[in-house]
Amino acid sequence: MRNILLIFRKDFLVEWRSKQIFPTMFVFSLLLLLVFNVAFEFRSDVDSRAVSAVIWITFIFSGLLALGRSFSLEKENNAFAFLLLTPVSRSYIYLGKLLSNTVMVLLSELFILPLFLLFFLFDADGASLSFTGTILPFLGVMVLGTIGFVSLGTFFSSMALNTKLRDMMLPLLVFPLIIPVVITSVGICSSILEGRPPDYYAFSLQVLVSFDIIFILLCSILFEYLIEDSGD
Amino acid sequence: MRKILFFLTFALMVLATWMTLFYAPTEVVMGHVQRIFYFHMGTVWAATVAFTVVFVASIYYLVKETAKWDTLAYCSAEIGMLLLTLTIITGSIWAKPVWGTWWTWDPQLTTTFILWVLYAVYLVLRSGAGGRGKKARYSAIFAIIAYVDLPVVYVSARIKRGISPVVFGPGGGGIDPAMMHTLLVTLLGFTLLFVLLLGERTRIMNMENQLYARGGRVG
Amino acid sequence: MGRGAFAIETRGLEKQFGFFPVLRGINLAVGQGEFLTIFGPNGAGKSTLLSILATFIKPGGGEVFVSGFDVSKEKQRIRKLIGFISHNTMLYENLTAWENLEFIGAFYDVPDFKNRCSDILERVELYGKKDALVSTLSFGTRQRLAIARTLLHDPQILFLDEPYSGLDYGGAAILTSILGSMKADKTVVMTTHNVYEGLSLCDNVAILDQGEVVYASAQKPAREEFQDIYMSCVRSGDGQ
Repeated sequence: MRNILLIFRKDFLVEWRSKQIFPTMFVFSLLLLLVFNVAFEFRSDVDSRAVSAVIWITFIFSGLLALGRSFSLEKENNAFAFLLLTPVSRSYIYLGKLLSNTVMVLLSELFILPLFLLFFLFDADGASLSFTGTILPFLGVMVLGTIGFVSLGTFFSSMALNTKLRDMMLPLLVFPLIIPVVITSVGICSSILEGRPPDYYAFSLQVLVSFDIIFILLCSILFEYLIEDSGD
Repeated sequence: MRKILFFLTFALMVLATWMTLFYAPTEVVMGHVQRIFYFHMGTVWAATVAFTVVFVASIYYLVKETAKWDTLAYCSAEIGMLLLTLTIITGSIWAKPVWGTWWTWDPQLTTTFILWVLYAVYLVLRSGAGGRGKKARYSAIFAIIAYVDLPVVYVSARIKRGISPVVFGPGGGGIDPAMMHTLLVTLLGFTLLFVLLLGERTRIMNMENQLYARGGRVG
Repeated sequence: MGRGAFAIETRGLEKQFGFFPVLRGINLAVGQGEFLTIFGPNGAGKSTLLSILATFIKPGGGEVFVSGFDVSKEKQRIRKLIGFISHNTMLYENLTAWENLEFIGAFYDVPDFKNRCSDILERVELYGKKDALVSTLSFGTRQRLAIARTLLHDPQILFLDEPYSGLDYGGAAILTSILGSMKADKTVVMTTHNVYEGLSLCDNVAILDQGEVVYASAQKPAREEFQDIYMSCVRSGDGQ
């Protein structure tokens, strides 16, 4: 646990100083937001399903882009290789990195979210935003969904960078795998925006939590094999 | 051994074709088009076997790191892709008259589609990974994660209620013994066909590798 | 077979990259506290050999023991005992000198950690720059920091991959003095091109060519003599 926190602190510090994830995500999200607005012809009466879909597509696209950039930092100078020389368990390296990436991506999302609400929701018919009824559950789903796609995003960003296709490979690897996150997160968010009771989306929530647990476990086991260098 | 397997597969596939077309009775509601379902089931079953072989071979590769497991996984994935493509085509042909549409996003179809995409990515990853050891390792890791991902995809796709009828399972109503015989023969036929193809493909792959090791260029 | 007798032992070590053999049956034994220098032309397999010993990459065949531990099975135990210095500094650009030390050192059991960090920085004459970001340091300075970081946990076995390339004169002098003072009880394996640096500190010499040990001696040959040996052994390469 101490080692995970050490790696988290280092990754967070490096990330904070180099500022890769936040600006990338923020600018890219703004652009997507603009594109979606144009596509919806600047109407604000878009239904909650579409709004949820737009939010999650933006989060996932911009998040993966930022993760790809962030890992290329680690490759610089081969500092990562030196970390592999230390007797720290490879699973901890993954978990520390996952923690740091999740926090950075979540922080970026927190800045983007209000803009979405401003552009899409405030004028929408019957959208009543209460703190405990809407915002709080919404943030909860945001955390769970983000953990879901960042867990695989962190894992595969270290793989993609070592392939010939590099950055191109990351979305290719991750998108088909995180379909369950997309289905459940979008579903739950639109239920919340429609003001449904938690019972309505309890099953989706279970699936989302299971996804997070399964893939964090699987990735932390497989990470050792992923970074194990066979030399070619 | 190879010869015996070849003739056995050949005989079974001919028998399966004959049973599908002449032996099995015509389904009351769907009519003749239902007959394509035997081959549909045959291919999807063999594809499932193929991807399970990929999964198991990938785990073995990560643990043992011997090239033969990687070759097995790769060849099996290729054949699985072929079989799954046939599954989707036969399924569409069946669905058009019965459901009135070539395609719909019900849980089984969604899962099948994502399965197809995942193994397409697997093949892309293999062609774009780089060195031989890296290619084998990365694709093995991806195959394991993809295989674990599938049930989760299926469960999450079911959140939206599907329309896919359970044709041969419980609740599918009584099934004519002749239909059952046909189905079983077809499943066995396709299983043998898969084993035959896998054997041949691995043999060719090993020859390619030997040639490459001698410095010759392949493909 | 005495597994503990040598600090480093390889038996029939092989490694292929793809279908290309890089190491073909390396047999080496380095005793406790010995200093071995491995010479060889580019592409002889020196770096690969060192990477396998340092648990970076896996051996393809044969047996490799470091401090009696099998590199295929007991990596974590080996990692606690070894240090690695290469021409590539492998430092975090966006961390300060001190943070770099602190981060890596935390994964080892280093008693009296803060003092140890300060001491080691003094030793490489970098204490005054401890709060400078690595990205602002010159190459020679980074190399000295990399040396400090490697020595932090007082490794019993040290691997040096072309450590002198890129070092300025002061850095080279510091490295030589540190290595000289460590010689008594530490085992060191160094690869190098530089005959002068390579011969000045070592006890044993080996020459690697095309993935094979073509010359090994438990005695340090004279420099002039060694030039002749090198030229007669090495069939290919850059012909120093």
